[in-house]
Amino acid sequence: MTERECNSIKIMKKVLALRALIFVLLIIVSIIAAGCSDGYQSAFRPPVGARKAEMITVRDYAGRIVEVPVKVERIGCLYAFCGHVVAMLGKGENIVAVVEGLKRDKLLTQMLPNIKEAAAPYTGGAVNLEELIKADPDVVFIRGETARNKGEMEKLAKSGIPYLVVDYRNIEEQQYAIGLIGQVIGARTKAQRYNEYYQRCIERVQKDLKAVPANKRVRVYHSVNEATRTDARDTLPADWMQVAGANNVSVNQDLKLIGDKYFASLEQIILWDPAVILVNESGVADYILNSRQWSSLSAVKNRKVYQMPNGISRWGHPGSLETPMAILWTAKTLYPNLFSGLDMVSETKSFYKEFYNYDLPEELVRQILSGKGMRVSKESTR
Amino acid sequence: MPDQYTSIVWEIRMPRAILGALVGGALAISGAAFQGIFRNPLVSSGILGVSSGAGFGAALAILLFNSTSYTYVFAFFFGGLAVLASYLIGRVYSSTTPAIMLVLGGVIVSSVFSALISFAKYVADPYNQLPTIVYWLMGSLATARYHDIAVGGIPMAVGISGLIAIRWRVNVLSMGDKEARSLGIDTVVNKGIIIACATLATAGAVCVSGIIGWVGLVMPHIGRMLVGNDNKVLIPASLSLGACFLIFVDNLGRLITGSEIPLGILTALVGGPFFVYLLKKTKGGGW
Repeated sequence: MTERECNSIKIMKKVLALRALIFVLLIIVSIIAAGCSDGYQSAFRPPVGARKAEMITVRDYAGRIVEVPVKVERIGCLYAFCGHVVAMLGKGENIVAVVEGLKRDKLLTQMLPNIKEAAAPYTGGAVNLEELIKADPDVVFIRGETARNKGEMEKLAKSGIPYLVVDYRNIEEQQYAIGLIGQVIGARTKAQRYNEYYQRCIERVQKDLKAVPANKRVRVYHSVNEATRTDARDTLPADWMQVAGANNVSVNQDLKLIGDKYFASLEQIILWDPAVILVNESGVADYILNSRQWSSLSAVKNRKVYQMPNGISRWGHPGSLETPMAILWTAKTLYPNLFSGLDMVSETKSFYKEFYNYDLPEELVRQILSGKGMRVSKESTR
Repeated sequence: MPDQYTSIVWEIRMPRAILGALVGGALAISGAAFQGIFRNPLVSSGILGVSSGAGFGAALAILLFNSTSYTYVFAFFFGGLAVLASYLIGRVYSSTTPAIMLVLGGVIVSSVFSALISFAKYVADPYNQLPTIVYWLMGSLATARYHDIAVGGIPMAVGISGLIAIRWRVNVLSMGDKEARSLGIDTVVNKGIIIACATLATAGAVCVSGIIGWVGLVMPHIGRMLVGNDNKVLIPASLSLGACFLIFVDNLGRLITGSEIPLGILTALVGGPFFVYLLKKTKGGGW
């Protein structure tokens, strides 16, 4: 081996050693950096039980018995309905994580600007665990559909954040859901007050509807968001519409299920020939009234296609908290003579004042009742 | 009551039947033409990527505009784009666009667009957009209106008439490029025309009814068992077989349950056993 070769080997060894050193340093730096970033910090937090001694036990929709801290200050609402309940119960400022849909509610975001800034750790039907942990909620509410997905449940269990499944198929279960949320976020009394109002609305219309025998009830088709999307049995709309005196034509029929939505075919609707069509999405009523395919329906010929009001949510929507209002409005719309004493303007005003502490100007009340333009279109929030 | 029946027959079932006939015919005739020029019995109307391209276009339109009003235009445009891409990939290897290269290009483009469809589904809003996309991709004639016939019917009619007019050249091309050239046929131009017509027909079908599988693959085979291998007869036969088959299947889907079974499921379920039955009866016939 010549001296030159010897030297070049030495130099090479030095270079290699230096590279190895740089490499090790880089790894150390990146581990430290990852550990320090917001996203990971909270992942190392102590288990919830150790952090807060005081816990309460509740039973959720799925029948799970869950321990949640007594004092809940950061709330995750991965179901739009829960966001509406939390806001109604006066804890809207504590919402730290939402579903994208909540950010599109004009009225809600006007009342609670923090919702626009909240994290949205739920995309493509799956929970984004890192985003959720980053938002650091004390408790998370998820919907029944998410809970049916085992992978999602396991993922949430790993996070150590207590989560509650909230869902319902009828009025009674919806009231239970509201009560449960109230209990967990420390607003039990208000939830009770809301459920009592809900119950009063039901009793109020039921009392007057006694005068209408079952075979004289108006046959109604309820269009949900899309013209042919409607209600199946064992859903909240099937229940509340029956309470409001409507004979819902699509309940107990053979409907097409896509995702969690039920669709009727136009042929079915034409054969049912409802006397009244209630529509909850603005624009759909015009479509139905002007479409050639719908023109043979009696409801269309008699111009009995009504746009339902649209407040924080679409009234009467399967995921709506304004169900008691939908019951009142529908009863009055279907039986105007029976409910001539019911003033929807003042009723609406006092509802939002009482439960959302929101003084609605007359103009906004009219807009809500007309059902038009209350939801921000999707593009404008992007 | 009669008023309702009139309305159902004329406003709902009539456009549905017309559209079903057009779509079934368009898919089957393009399948027959492709099987001829690619000399491969396994290709269908979607082989050059038109279906997946159109599917992606529709998904993109639903994502961008959050409604289904632009799906026609987007589905049609991306369907055409996909075929153009397959064609250009086929030309990379040789400017004579050999059949095998075109098929390969089609496979590549199809898988790229399928991946893009999956991606679009992944980023879609799961409560509003995703069901719309999935529903669209499943294929359906349930929402057919006369308007759809006007929109999708023009490209379908043009494509179908083009294929019928040029059908004898499919015979020549199906002998292979060398033989066709020796008979004085410009293979590149003729292949281009046939691909363009078949694409027009298929894209028109896909953009009004979503992706309906199976018709474009199997109807030409059934035609072959019945009338033999001569494309002069086979192409019109495929057209009418496809049209009848889709109307039949659509009626079946509508009648079995009140909630309608998606077309794609039934075309395979009904077509498969029928295919085997014919195979047994004719022992392959004109293959």
